[in-house]
Amino acid sequence: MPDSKPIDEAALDRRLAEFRAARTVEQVRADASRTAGTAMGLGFRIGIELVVGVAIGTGGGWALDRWLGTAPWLMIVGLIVGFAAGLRNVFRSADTMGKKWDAAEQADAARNVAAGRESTNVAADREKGK
Amino acid sequence: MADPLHQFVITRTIPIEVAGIDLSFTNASAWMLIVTGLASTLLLAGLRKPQLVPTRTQSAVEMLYEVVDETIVSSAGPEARKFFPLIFTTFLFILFANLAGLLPYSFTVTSHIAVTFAMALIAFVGITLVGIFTQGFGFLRMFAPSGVPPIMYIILTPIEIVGYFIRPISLSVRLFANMMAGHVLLKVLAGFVVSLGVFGIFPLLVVVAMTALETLVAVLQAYVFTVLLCVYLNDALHAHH
Repeated sequence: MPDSKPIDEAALDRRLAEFRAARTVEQVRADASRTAGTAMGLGFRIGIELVVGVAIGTGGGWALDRWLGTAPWLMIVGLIVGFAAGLRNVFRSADTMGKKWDAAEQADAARNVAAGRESTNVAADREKGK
Repeated sequence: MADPLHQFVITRTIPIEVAGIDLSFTNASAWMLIVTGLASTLLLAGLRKPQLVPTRTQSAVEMLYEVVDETIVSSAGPEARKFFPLIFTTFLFILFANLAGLLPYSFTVTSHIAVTFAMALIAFVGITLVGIFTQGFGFLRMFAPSGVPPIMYIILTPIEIVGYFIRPISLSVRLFANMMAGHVLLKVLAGFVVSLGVFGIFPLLVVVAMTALETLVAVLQAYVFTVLLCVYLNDALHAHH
């Protein structure tokens, strides 16, 4: 490639800036959809946890009652313990998820600051190009 | 064929009986083999001639690798990487089983609790053993949460133990219930398409939309199963507070 033509730097910078802006929009969209997917996943995760906790607790208590002839006390205890266990599992996953989201938000803020600096640099470059 | 549950019937393809135990090769077995074959084909095709600038198939495989790797590291820490092959295999198997189940005339392996519970139970026993081998007796401290007065252990320890043992059940019920519910709903709505004649266009539109949703659910459920494996592995590998 011979360097016969002078490179139009201003046009190049403009195209670069346009490309970067488009990329940022894409990035934001991708992030948003990923967050939605994670939230849906979290919903699926913790929704069933309570149901299974109550069902297993109650069913286990009922089976023990039939075996030991203590109806209906162990079933009632099982219902309460199962509910508590399900709630505990829900709470635990919500807790870890909350910590992760906080960390992600902080990383996001840091990235935005970096991106902001970068975009001002592009603008400055463009000014220089003119 | 209007029966929406007909799709879950297991039929014997090759009847085999050993010592009074039915070990027949069924349509479920066949689809498990097909699913494993599909997943292996994708991986082998993608990594046959690895290039620095990947082809489409190669980057698809690399993306799958990266998603699972990222999930493992973020949920269970870098030490959990040694379980990558197992978790990656589980993810691919469930993903392909869920997606293959959406094809017409196919059989959804993961819509049977026998399959999902077997997978969840193997993972549960394995992860518990990992916990005992890495932490020894300290693993039992998981059932005694810190920061509470000791008298509360009487109530909290049974709750924690029950909470631990319902894990494989919630893990398997979540996957099987989601797959089965979606497929039943699709079949019921598809039945309306025929019986409503001209107006069948409306349920048809709903079925199209539902199919898109079911595709999302199929991928998401495979992912959720994988994330939960990593979360449980995290409890086994790291001391609990």
